[in-house]
This record gives sequence, structure tokens and C-alpha cells, in this order.
Amino acid sequence: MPSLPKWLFALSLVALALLGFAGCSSNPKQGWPSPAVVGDTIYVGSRSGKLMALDRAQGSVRWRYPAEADKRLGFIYSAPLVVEHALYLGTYEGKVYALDVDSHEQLWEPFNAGGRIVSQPVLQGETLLVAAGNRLFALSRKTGRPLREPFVAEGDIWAGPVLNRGTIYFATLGHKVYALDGETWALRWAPFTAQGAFVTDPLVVDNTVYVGAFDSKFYALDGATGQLRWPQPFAADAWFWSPAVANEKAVYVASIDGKLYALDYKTGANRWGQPYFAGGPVGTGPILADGHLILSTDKGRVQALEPSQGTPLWEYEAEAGVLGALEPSEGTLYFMDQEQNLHAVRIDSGRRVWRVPLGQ
Amino acid sequence: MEALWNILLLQPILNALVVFSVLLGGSFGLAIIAVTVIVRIILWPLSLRQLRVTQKLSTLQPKLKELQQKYRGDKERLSREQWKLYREGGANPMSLGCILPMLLQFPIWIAVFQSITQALAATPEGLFELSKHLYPWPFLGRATPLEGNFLWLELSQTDPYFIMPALTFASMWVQMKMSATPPVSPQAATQNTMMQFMMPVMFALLTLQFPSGLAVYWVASTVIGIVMQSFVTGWGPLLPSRAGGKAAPAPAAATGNVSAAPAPEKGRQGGKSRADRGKRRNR
Repeated sequence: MPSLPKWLFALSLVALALLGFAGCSSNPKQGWPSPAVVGDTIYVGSRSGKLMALDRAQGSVRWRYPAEADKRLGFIYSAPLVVEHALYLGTYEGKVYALDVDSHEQLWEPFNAGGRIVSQPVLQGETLLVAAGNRLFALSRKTGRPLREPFVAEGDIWAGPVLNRGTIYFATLGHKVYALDGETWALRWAPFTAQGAFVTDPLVVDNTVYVGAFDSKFYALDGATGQLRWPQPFAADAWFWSPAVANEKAVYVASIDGKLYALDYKTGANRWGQPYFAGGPVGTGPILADGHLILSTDKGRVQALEPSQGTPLWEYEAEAGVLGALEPSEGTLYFMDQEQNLHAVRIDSGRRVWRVPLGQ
Repeated sequence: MEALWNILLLQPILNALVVFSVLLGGSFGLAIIAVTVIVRIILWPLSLRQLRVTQKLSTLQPKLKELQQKYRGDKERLSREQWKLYREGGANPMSLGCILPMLLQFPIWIAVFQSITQALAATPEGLFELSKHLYPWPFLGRATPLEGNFLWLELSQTDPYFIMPALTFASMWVQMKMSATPPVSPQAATQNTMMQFMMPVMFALLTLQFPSGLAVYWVASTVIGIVMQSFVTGWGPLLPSRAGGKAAPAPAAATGNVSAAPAPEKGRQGGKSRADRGKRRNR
């Protein structure tokens, strides 16, 4: 018979192992890279922390950076920004990299922003706007050096800044929407405060800023004054996780519970009457491409709808959830799933062109 | 199975953490402590039952010692006699009454652990996952992401000053010390000493790697366990004078994070402890 202390000791060890497993496994950090398509090349980060360049037609890998197997850039949650022959990428570890896409060499030493970078850098002339932690940086794209003191916001900035008519708009986890003068970085108006956090890029159309928050409300703000444009914000049943998109008829936005809405520009009312249900939490989208409204669930159900009525057109099943952005280019949709498969899918039919497993 | 786990355990605890965070002025650290108190209160009947079984076990220590001396050369017979003694004393350590409470507590501890980690949502994936588990009450959405600062801690990160690992070690050492059994043999004495240090050291090492929010839960839970144990079994060898000047065998146990063994015979207020009363009844 086992003596009591040994028996209890063994049970405690089991408990420890279980608790250790539970603690370590429940908050993963893997990243969700998005592709950028430039010419005949696709640039995309991988969950193994590499930047990859692939042939657009076949999906074959042309090069990886860093090339060394034991080196990695970090966790990547956005698409690289490619301008001329330079590529810029931010990592969750707070580093901004600049690479020459021809030589695959660094253009400058990585800039350490000291805060988590979730969104894609944005180009303003020769300046890179990078959101890291709760700060917005302006870096010289030639040297990587800060051009001014960073703007310190209330709450972390996960959503990328948006430039429109000389104004920089961005929203924060601290429930704020900011509008800065593009030159002086002076506040255009007192930051708009919602009751929930913002994690999505604002959409700016006709001087109106559209953005949804964790308070389950979707706001339309006057870009010049920050005042609410609609009589009241559109209220959904769940958080707004991904950015909105618009055409001449409506603003389309999905809440995280899988409902897609087509909102009237002037009133914020849902033009479809009933929302379209995607079948699960929306991981990314919607986007508009070639007359299709496309979104994906966190289980990898990529769906295309006809925008005016919300009629389903096709559906494509990825091997895993899709949380990174959908990138349309010349009739093809490119996206990465959470098992590191890069997909190329025809926008008109939903037919697979190719799929490349990048995890191998 | 996963859905059942989420609905029955993970989501109620997770949402309770967020609700308490809102009620306690946005402090997630205080929310962890509040939920820990509630969980310990809910588990109290199980803990008490377990204490009582181990209490009975502890009263048998002198007889076990006698048996060990009597059957020193015959291990098989010794084992048989020990089982017989446990059975007759109504303190079978392998009985459902002893094992079941402990087994029932494990899933709840794990769910609390998972809930704290998920509620902290330190990564974008974590926040996305959290959204699936929150009840559709608007004020819960408004409260997230939760405020991760508490005292000197960033709750989703490890403690940079190693204070939480030190507190984990200290609180667990106290609990183990309270539960120390008068050894029935030199081998058992060595084992007890090792246990008293090894377990706290192991947990302290774990808290070095976990987010400090988990360490807050762990320390709070252990401290509550110490208080509960002191009411039921007294302070044991930790404060021998309050136990009547001698550390005779008495109960202790896995009322909290770790199991343990006997504690003192007399209660903390100098009178007869429950253990003592149990012992008298057994006689």
C-alpha cells in the first residue's frame, strides 16, 4: 500500500502538471500574418517569424528572411508594406524592419519601438507611421530614425493609422479615436471616447470616420469635428473586431458573433433588414473585391456575397481559421490560414488556384 | 467535451472575473482575489470532508507506529495490518470520501487557472478567444481588455521583482509546516522534511514562469487555505505553544492547493481541538 505522503505527493504532482498545462496552453501567441502582393511577388510573414517572398503564379518560395534556420524576426500580425524596392514590417516584439526586396538585405538597423506592433506601417510621403504600444512613431523611411517625438495615446494602438485629407486618424484600446494634423500632429478635435476598446482601422469615406468598438457599437464620426454623424451609433450584439469597408451604396461591417451588416451612410440603418450570418465568429473582413463582398470566419469559411442584397455567391473552406487580412489582386484572393497555408483563390468563383504550406 | 468544459466551468469563472473586475473599480487583481475567495467558499464542504478524513488518519498515527515496530521484519503483514487499522478507524486514504473531494477540486482549480489566463488576454489571439467566452452582456464587452496592473505587478507578465514566487514559497511552507506529521520512522521524517521544502520550491519555480495573475490566485488560495486549516486543525507544529505545547498527531490536509498530513492534537485556543475530539471518539 502506498503511504499517505507519497500518495498525496503523487496527486499533487499530477495537479501541478495539469495546472502547468492549463496555464501554458491557454493564451497562445502565434501571430496572423497577411500577404502583400506587388508585381509578380507575394510577400508574407510566417508564424515561424520569417519573411517570405513567393512567386505569385505558382506559390513557390523565392527567398526567406532571415535565411538562417535559427533566426526569426518575431511574431507578425500584419502585412508588410512594400514601396518601390523597400519592404517595411513591424513585429509584436516592437521592432521595425526595412529590407531591400532585391538583395534581401536590411536597409537600416531595425528600429526598436519598445511597444507591441500589431498593425501595418503606413507611408506618409517619405515618413513611415508606425503604431507601437500606445505610441505613434514617425520614422524616416530612408534611415529608420524617428523624425519627431512619438505621439502618446491613451491605450495601445492595434489598429493602423489612416491618412485622409491631411489628417491622421487612429483608434485605441483605450476607447479613443484620435484625429491628428498630418503635419503638426496637433489634435484636430478632442479625442472621441467610446464605451469600449477599438482594435480596428477606421474607415474614412467622404470625411466621415467609421469605426466599431468593443461596446458593440459602430460609430460614424464627422472627420472635421469628431461629432457623431448618425442620430445614434449602430448597435450590434457583439464586439466589432475587423474593419469596415464601403462602396457607393453602403458601409459593410461584421461583428465578431458572425453577423454582417450593410449600413446606410446617412442613417446607420441596416439596408438588408436582417444581417447575414457567416456561421461563426468573423476572423477577418469584409473586403470588397471585383464586385464581391468577402469575409472569413475563424474556422476558415471564406465566403463571398453579392453586396447589394447579401446573397451568397460561393464559399471556400480553408484548412484552418483565417484571422489575417484578405488581399485581393488581379482577380485572385490571397490569404494565410492559422496553420500557415497560403491560399490563392479565384474571386469570381471561389476556386482554389493553389495552396502552399509555409509551415514546412 | 471541450464545449461542456467551457459552458460548465470556464465561462462562469471567466465571466465572474470580468464582473468582479467591473465591480471592484477595474482592478483585475482584486477580482482574482474575490473569485478565489468565492471558489474556496464553494469548495469548503469538500475541503472540510477531506480534512475530517485526514483528521481521522492522523489519530491513527500512534497505532501505526506501534504496528511498524511490531511487524518490522514482515512488510506484507505490516501492510495488511495498516489497511485493517485504516478500515476499522474509518480513515481509508483510498476511500471515495478522501479521494473524491480532491478529484472534484482539481477541475475547478484548472478552470480558475485557465480563466485568469484567458481573461488577461495578453495577445491578440487571447483577446479574440476571450470574445468567444464572454456572456453577451454589454458591460462585459466594455470592460475588456482588462486592466492588467495590480500593485507592482503587470498581471499578464511574470513578477520582475520575484516577490510573488517568494510569497508562494512562504505561504506554502507555512501550510506544509502546519500539516507536518510526527514521523513514525526516520525514513518518514526525512520524507516529511523533503516534502516541506520541495513542494513550495516547485510551486515557487512555477510562478517564476507563469503570469503573475496566476501567482496572485495561488498565494490568495493558499492563505485562505491556511486560515481554514487553522480553524479546523489548529496551527500544528508551526505554533506549538498555541497547540498546547506539544505537537501530537492531528489532522491537516489538502484543503487547499497541496495536500498534507496531520497537525496538532489540541486546538488553537488551548482547548480540545476537533482532532482531539475525534481521537477521543475513536477510542
